Amino acid sequence: MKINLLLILFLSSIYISAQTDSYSIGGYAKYLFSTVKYNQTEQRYYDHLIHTRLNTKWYPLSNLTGTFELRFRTYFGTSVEKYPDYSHLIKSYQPLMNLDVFLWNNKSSIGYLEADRIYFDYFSGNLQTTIGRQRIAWGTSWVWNPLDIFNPKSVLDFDHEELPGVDALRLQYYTGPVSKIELSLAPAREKENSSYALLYSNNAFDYDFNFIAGFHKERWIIGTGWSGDILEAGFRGEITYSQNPERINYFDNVYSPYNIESISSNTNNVLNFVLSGDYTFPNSFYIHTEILYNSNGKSKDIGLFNQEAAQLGMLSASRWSVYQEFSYDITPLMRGSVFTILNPIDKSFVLVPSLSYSIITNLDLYLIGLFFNGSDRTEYGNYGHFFYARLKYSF
Amino acid sequence: MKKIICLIILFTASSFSQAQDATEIVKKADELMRAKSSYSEITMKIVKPDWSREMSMKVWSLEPDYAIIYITEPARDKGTVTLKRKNEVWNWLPSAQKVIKIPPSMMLQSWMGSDFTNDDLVRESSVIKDYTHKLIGEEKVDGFDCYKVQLTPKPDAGVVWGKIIAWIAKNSYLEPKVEYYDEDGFLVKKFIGSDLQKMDGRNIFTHWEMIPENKPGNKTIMDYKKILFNIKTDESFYSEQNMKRVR
Repeated sequence: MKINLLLILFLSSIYISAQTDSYSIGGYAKYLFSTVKYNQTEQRYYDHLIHTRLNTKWYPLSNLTGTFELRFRTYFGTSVEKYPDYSHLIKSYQPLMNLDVFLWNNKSSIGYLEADRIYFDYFSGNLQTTIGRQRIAWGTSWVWNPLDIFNPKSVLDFDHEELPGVDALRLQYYTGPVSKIELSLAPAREKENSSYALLYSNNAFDYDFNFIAGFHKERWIIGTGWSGDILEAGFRGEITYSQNPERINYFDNVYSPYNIESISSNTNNVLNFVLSGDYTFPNSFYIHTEILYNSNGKSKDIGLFNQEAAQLGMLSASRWSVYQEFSYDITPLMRGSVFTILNPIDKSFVLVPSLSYSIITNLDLYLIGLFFNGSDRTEYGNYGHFFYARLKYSF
Repeated sequence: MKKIICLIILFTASSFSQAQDATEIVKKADELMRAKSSYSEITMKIVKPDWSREMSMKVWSLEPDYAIIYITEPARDKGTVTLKRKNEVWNWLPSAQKVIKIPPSMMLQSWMGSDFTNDDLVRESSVIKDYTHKLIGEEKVDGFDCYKVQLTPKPDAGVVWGKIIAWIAKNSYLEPKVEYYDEDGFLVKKFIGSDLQKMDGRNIFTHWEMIPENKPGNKTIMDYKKILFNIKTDESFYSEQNMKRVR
């Protein structure tokens, strides 16, 4: 706690003195309160997270930019006290470099410092070379992105707006104002976890198109994505086709009592697609629908496969997933939103209502709930009802 | 976001026209702010009876189809960039390093409830081509001797206003006041210009207020901190690469 306050003071002092031309500093401080009552436990959990982020840019030369972004999180509350090794759930696992440290980790609180962006951009004519921990966002959809092979994300991780990054070398050659060829290489400590891929993107008929081909963890993958509109409504989508994933034997023991087969025992190649559409009415009412298909996803006892799917880098263990969102500006300063991710096969869902409110300039309140509903062994069943309240101050 | 873009374009590029004959007067007023290309630094302030919010940005534009807008304030949104190329618009979200293509229906959203209507922002109606112009008097406004000109939309122009009345200064062609009326002849809002400054060789108003008539305590203010007219720029500047690079 003390360290957090010191850090904030330190950050604000450099911020005040540091808005010069050769570098810039910004970031935010957040406090996140959460509470949940799990079905399996008697006790209600109350958790706290103090989160500070420092974003810096350095411009040593006109064609060279350095980006350094740190996030420092302090956790305390019931989860830290009850789980024997809560830090394992917090830690991010990166395939190449460890740029994180637990500053302390005891029975009552955990302090975790992580660099989720450290990269340099070098510009030479139409070529942009980026090296370091960065995010490679190739997807065009807004919820599920099969094309984001380097750094998959989860829409339910609402508190990490920056989304995960990856250690990579990225060469982007711009062939036109809105077209490029790109090569991205993400090596890993274990060779089999390396990924490398080519992207070609272009714009035609008022649509953006992406095409990718490469290897993700030694499995080939090809894919395409698009983004445009039909009658003013957004219309996007992604399709990937990839080699069947590696076999993970670990889960066989988990599954054998149920007499079911693991996802990775399916030797068929995998077809994924996402379709995404949205429309904003003039009064700010907003509708957004997305559908995800995974040819190797399960259609029975889906909840048992969540962990394996995550480990395989699949966006869902289910064959089909549906996302539906409605949102509306209740006042110019307050936006209400509700979305659900529904499994149409087992009828389980997570319902996510939220309210964001701009209290004063740069100070935002965010209330959000994650309500999981479904019967046993369904994809979204049995996780409980989470409530969160967050204050965020940006500087 | 889109609203803002169009608004910026409205401000940097266009305005009003009419015959010294009224049409000639309106044309000269229109040309005062018009440039083939421009760079500007602008602060927009939304004022409501019980709160206000400000946003600052840098804008590069090439008329009529290309613009890049970089948000500098508030800190929450700093670094967000919008690229407009003809009728397509993209956003660059630096935190997630993602380019998002904005669907047309989303472009009409306002930023924190500004007093600009969709029509102000999106419609590329021309005050010269889409209106007939009539000199209806002379008046002093804010110390400026002005022509009072009435602009009436042509029947097929598809303009929402019933009429517009513009006060145009005789010497400088500045517009200290413009009033917008609905089709029933009621005043809907006023547009007030002030804070005359020389920017890049032109004497212009740098402070603009849009004041809606039926919402007391509400207004939208635009302040120009800097403008450069006819900057060296071409279509290729308005690219994905520069969207990620401007600052």
